[in-house]
Amino acid sequence: MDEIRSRMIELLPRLRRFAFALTGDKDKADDLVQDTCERALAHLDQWKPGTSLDSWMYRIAQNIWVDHHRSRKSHGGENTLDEVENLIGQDGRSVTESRLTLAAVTEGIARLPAEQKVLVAMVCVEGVSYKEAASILDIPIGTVMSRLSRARQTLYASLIEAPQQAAEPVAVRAASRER
Amino acid sequence: MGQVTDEILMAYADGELSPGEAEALEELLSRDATLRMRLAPFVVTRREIANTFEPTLEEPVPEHLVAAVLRAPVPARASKASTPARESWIDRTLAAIGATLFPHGASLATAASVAVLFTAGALGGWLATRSAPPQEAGLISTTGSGLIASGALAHALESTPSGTASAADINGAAIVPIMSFRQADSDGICREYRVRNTEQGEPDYAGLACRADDGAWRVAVHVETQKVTTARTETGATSYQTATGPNAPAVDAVADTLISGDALGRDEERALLENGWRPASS
Repeated sequence: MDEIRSRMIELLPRLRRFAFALTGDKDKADDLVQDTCERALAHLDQWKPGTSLDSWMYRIAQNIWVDHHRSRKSHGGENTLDEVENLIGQDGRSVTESRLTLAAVTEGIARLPAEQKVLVAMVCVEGVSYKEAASILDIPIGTVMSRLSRARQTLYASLIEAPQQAAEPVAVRAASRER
Repeated sequence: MGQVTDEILMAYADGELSPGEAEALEELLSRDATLRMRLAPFVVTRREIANTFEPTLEEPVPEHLVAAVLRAPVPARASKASTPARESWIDRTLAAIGATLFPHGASLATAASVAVLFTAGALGGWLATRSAPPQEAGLISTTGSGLIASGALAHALESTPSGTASAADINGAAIVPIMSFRQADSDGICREYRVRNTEQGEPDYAGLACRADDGAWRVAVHVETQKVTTARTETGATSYQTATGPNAPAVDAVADTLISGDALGRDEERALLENGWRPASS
């Protein structure tokens, strides 16, 4: 028991990063991570020792997130502008030259369909292999690649267009944060 | 190689092609500008996405999350199958969450093997294309296999005796290692630490790192702690010199799962510290 919990604790930074990439919001990400750990421990008998704990946890996290996402969608609130605004304002780090790109990346990911977002978070953020992602999501590897490829092209297009769109709101926020 | 699909170009950017496939594609890329342009979206997105989320990894984990992992119930079946020591451990942990655990007493040893703690995290070769983390001066940096103490934190863990605050670094962070102990199983050394930020409004941290064979201090847990605001006076920059800093029951509880026997005594710790954390050769 100690061992599993310790390993989960060591996984927390990566689970938080994964959850942040999915939700685009630090608080929601931490809620998702907590739900994930609690569900994982509650269903520990379903985990096969010797298999990857990371992959199992990513699977649980994405299941919980997809469920939430679905129920939110049915209430009509997907990828609202608020959420996107939130993304840009959420990051409290100091203003850097990479800030525009950072905002553009998070905003671009927020606009992707859920099925593509999951793959971006798994492969590009967490470094999970295509094969492992296919196994976690229980889909063919060809599907992983076609979805991911579409997601990256959409994202690239938005990055190229980003400077004009993102410059103003980010600049305003940066200025208002000055003390 | 026939028609080069976007998926193949992406797989190349992600390091998913076999060496032979990659070589064949590179040959085509070297003489086909259109192909290179089609590759760009995948190389750029890979790099930018990784860079965007990298700093999240180095952020301290909120203590409530660590506590949640330590506290969450497990089904009876799973616990029975794993370890008979569960009850007492959970009791101890709950006590740790509710109360302070300093100093670690003799009863805290646990037989559980936690050496595996440091084997997780095979992130594969994905770091190859990544540029350096943006926060060069940070206390923690990432490697392919986890989090590593860096900068002032690495220095304090390596060379500062427990109970002594390091001088504040350029970011205003002073580090106090608060105890050292031997790890169950591997006999490696772990140290629990606190980070006090002297800058107004900056958070304090608590954590635990263990020294790897290569001399790096691998961070097992790093959390943000509640600021002790009452102790702050106008002259108060030195007030923490005798204190160990804010309590972090979750970090203590993690230490509890790792520790073998008691915390190292002052003399034993100094001997190890002066010997580069290697046992005195006799």
